[in-house]
Amino acid sequence: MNALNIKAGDSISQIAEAVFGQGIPHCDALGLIIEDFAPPKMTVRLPFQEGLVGNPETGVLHGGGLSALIDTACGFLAMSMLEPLQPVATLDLRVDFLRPAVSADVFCEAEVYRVTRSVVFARARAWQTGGEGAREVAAAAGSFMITGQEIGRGPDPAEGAS
Amino acid sequence: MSLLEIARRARETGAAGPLIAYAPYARWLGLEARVVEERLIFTLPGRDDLIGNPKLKAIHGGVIAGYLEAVMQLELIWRLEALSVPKTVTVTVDYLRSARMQPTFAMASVTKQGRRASAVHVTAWQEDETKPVAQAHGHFLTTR
Repeated sequence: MNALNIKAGDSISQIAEAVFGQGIPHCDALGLIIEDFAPPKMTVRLPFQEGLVGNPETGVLHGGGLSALIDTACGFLAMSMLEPLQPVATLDLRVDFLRPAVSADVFCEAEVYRVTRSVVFARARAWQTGGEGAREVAAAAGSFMITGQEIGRGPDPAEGAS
Repeated sequence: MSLLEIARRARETGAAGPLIAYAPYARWLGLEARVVEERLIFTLPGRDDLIGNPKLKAIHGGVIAGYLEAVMQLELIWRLEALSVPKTVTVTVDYLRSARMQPTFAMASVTKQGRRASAVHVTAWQEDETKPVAQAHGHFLTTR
């Protein structure tokens, strides 16, 4: 299942570089880290940085960083589940903001629930941790177009990745 | 100065700069806006750290989503005599074409302004306004 040889703690951009030959600048800028990779699910962490704040009076994060985290987690997971491996392009993305996200790391679990010939469907939830346990801050759904541009060997069929 | 005071000042002077620069995230993206015939036209710069697809040099989809959410929020603040900062409930983005490494323009409209919630939509384009790169709509909680 893990033909991409992903370990917890790897950065998204690092794995993209191993697969595409190039990192992903915005994922580097966000410092996105893979916490768990277990298709059809994966968990990605967005470390806190000042530039993510929307309201400087309260420290509440802007929705943009959350959207980038969610889009990346879903898109990367979608790409990794295709045989052969190939990029996807987001068709649409809906994000529901459930609670204000505070000035702290955000985690996102993405799940791919349907792969067709042309489209991958994914959902995601994002949360923060704190004294009282996990606080869900966002829920999302997205669809991703399979681009048909083969970039490398796909997962080993013997591992049952698809 | 609170955001609402900054917004009031911006409407009085017609200079949107301090309003756009209020949120750290908007500053990080490098958002700009100018007033053209009483409409706010926004610009997102084409910058390397915004790239999501390095082969196409296309802007990251999450950046587009964040940009359009910010544009919708700022349009609401600009338009409404709001008593509080609009809170985003939900945003849906349709990705129509790759956004390349060049400025992305955006213009929003308030679709419906309610007592407690407002609906906004926004279009983003690069070279050709008739060929948008993305469209989005959102719902925001507002109080008057």
